[in-house]
Amino acid sequence: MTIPIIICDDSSFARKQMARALPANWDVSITYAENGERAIEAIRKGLGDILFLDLNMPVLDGYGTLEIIQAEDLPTLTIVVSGDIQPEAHQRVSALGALDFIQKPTAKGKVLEILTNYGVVRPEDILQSQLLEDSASDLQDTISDDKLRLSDDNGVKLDAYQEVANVAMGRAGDLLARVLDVTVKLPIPKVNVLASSELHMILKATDEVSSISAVCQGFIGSGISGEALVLFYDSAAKELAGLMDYQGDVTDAIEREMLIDLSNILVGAFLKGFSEQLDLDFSQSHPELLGLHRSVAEIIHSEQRKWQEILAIEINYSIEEYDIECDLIILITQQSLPILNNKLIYLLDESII
Amino acid sequence: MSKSDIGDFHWMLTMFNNIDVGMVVIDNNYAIQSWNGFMVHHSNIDAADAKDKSLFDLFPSIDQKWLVRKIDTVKTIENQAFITWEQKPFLFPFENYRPITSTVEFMYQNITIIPLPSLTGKIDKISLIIYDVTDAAANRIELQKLRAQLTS
Repeated sequence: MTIPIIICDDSSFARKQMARALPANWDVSITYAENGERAIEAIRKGLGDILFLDLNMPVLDGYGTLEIIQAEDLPTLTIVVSGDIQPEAHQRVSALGALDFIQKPTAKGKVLEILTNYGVVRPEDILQSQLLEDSASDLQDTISDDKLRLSDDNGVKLDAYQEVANVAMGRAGDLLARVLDVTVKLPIPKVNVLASSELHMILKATDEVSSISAVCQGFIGSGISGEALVLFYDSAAKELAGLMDYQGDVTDAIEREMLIDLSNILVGAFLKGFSEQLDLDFSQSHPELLGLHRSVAEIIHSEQRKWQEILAIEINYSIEEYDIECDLIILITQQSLPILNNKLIYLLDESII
Repeated sequence: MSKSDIGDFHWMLTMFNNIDVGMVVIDNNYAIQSWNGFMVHHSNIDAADAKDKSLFDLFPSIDQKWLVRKIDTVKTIENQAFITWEQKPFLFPFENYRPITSTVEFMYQNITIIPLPSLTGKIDKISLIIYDVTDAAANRIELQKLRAQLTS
């Protein structure tokens, strides 16, 4: 019997990854949903005995979706698939009735293991190999379709970057949460192609608004280079000091040290998560406080730079229950993009095997 | 090799590949014998690909006559030699570590050349150590510009 399942994720790259992580010859009909609302609609139509649910999504996120499923007692088994690996997220979705939790990027073995554990997949659900070939060729069609669509935008696969960033962001958030012993609210990473003028605006804000500090760190490796910027809003300094166990007055020196320590955690964890997924190897430069030794205006007005377009991944971390916010912005140079795009295609193909 | 020797070798290799300083070993024919992580990342040439290749083939922009003379002196006097960024901004054409927010385009380098004696005491290998001094150099250049403005 064909089992109706729903894969709910705002990233089409993530939906494909999930579809490919399903047991190879499992007889299912897949409905894709890009947010919680769509998933709920589909469940009501009886299209989702099993729901694979992402947490960070626009319109209606995973938590909201679980609440509705619980409140209305909708007939579906939910398995959460998320890059948010903080223990708190895990507990919260369990309390909301989720069956289990799969960490992104989804590993095929893990999905089968969970499905078997809960008796969702039984030997008789697995079809004969002949039928398998049919569905495999179906899947192949949708893949080539999606590949075309992915590369529409300036040749940059923004959606794929977003998903890879999502997983890396989850790891960085988890580390931050553990170091500070708090819960970090994870946003949806924004991936954009920036013109140099837009980057100027970001940098300028750090110079003109004295309450913003920025730490930047370069990274290079495997033909890819870029910079990570971490922006802090100074109102947070006192609270941060409390969280990081700094005693006494928060002097400028302590504040600087704190900012550099924190940004190093974020940047290091993000780059590690990012590079591991794409099989890259980076080295990182020493962090530098922007504007401390050199004015940002000088950097902006430097004519030597032939800035073209820059890929920017923006992540806004905020800490629950505290007034602390910081932005992690990963900037990747244009000349790195062809190499990165190839790596992403490889990542996509790899998960078919 | 005993187990602990291999253990020592392992952590030393990790350090060699993660240190934020370039380390290169070349033989008497200027063929690369060792190429650490810093060099791999900044040149995008794998250690395996660099192995046994001539330094001057991999980096044609290096002034061969000039560098050979430096290296010959190091071998003769069996003492280290220095190349500073003020003398020559860089030996290896690497991009700036921070390609976006930096004011200069390439990596300024200080280089130390040291002789590596073999077990018999003969110098048969040379090591180049490459330091990224871009920040210091960029600041110094800025400062000189400002001073020039003040005195003019």
